[in-house]
Amino acid sequence: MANFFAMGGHGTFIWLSYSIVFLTLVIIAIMSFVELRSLEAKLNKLKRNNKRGSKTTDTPEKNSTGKV
Amino acid sequence: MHIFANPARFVRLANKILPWAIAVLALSLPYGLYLAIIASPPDYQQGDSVRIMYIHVPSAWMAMFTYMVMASASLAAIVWRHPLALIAGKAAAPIGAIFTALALITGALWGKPMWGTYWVWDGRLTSVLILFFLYLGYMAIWQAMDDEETAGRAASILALVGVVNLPIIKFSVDWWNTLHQPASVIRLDGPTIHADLLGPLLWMAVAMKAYFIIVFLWRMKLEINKRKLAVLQMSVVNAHG
Repeated sequence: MANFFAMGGHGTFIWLSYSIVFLTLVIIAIMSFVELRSLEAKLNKLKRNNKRGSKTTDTPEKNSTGKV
Repeated sequence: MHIFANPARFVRLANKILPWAIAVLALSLPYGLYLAIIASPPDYQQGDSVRIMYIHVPSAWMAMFTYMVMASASLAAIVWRHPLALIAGKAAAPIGAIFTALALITGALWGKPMWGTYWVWDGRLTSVLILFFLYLGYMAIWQAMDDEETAGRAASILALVGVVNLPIIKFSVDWWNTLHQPASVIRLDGPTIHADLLGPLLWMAVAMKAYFIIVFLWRMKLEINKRKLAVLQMSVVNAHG
């Protein structure tokens, strides 16, 4: 096992390479996905608000009293 | 709203492609890693350091492939003014910059034990460093200009001018024969690399390609949403103002 990690004496360079590539790619993927999701959430919220907003301007009294 | 007709169709297509790309990544990455780290033998000259090649070479391929995607998108943006083309270029740039940086870093980490130096101003290394700066320049233009239209055109022109660097990268190892070894896989007379080394290389290349497709599509959707959000916020402001 120790032999495996030593990689013929070049273990440091090899494992460092793999870690940097792996971590960087994972971080970029997560950042992209999280930003995508948060934008989708914002969009949905805005769309919902817009719908509600247009309803209240059409019939303001009904909406304010009719809601329980 | 007509400008979103195409993006909407694109998002549907992207949503169909994404699960397949994720499946390909989920299969090719473990197998590629298994071949690269465990199953493949050490090289007779490089020893175990050859394992760095299995991530270095695919990263470098992706660095150039992503640039071709970005440049093609830029061409489409300038010639046909397709709204999705600018988005594609903008989405590809950071991924390409990352792949280029990774190719340079893993190359340096291979160079230290093999060449005895992290860096040398060799034709291949220098032209790839220029590729990295081209990506950064493209992204900087987007950042620097407020007007999307102007920024997009300026960035696209830079991307197209930078295409001249791609053949320089490809042939640098033949033109300036210094330290970086010449091509051993993509050659007119076929690969000269041993099959034991080709397997892990190609599987890792497949994994990185799948990764690119996933993150590229996510970033394109992200950019589309940003524009939608801007339009919606505008309409809210207009409605209340």
